[in-house]
Amino acid sequence: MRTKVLTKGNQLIYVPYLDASLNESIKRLRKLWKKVQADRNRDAVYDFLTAVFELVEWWTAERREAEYAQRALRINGLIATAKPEPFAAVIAASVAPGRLDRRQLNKYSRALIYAAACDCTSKRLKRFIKEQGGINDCAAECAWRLRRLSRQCREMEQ
Amino acid sequence: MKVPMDKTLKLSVEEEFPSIKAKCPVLNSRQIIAIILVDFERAGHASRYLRKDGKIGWRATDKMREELFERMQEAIDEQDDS
Repeated sequence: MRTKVLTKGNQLIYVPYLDASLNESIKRLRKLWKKVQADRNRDAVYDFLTAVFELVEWWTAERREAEYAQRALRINGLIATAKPEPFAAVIAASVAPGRLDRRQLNKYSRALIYAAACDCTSKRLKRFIKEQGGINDCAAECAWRLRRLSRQCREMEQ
Repeated sequence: MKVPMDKTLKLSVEEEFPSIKAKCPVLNSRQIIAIILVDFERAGHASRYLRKDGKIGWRATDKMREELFERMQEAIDEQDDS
């Protein structure tokens, strides 16, 4: 729940990430989602996905992505699992429940998981996804890799 | 004291610094900055991000920029009136 911001000798100063601060981050994303929905431009969704990616990026740098994702779900009245997938959690928390269908949520989160697995940064996200053939192709690639991974795990168990 | 932050946020932190220092004289500058950042983040005026060097940086949000712009406009209007 803390970010180390300053170091001098052995002294450390931490800035706590309060629930109110986390909620403000989610509110910003919600506002952006509404803007994206109102925009007729097909590329507008990339602004939202980049903002989601950017948020999870620093959560991951702190190695607290699961904890923050859990808190984001809880604050927004959603059921939080023990270790939620951070991208899916942020999207679900920022888009009002019922507004985004499950398939769309999975598609966006898988595309972002794939980008993160390929060491993509938030600044390059839009270009990366486009180079890979778009959101659908990135999501499909992620799903295919996950299936292959689970098959390999099953084979190792046998 | 080095906290990576953008110019807008830095100016706002510097503006806020003396009032916190006056309220809590026992705190050192780093602790005061941490308090200001927490307050700004809680109000939705500042956010963290991952910098290219892998460190966490801070920047002003659109909300803060809009409010600063409004304040600036008000100041200009007052100046014009007087």
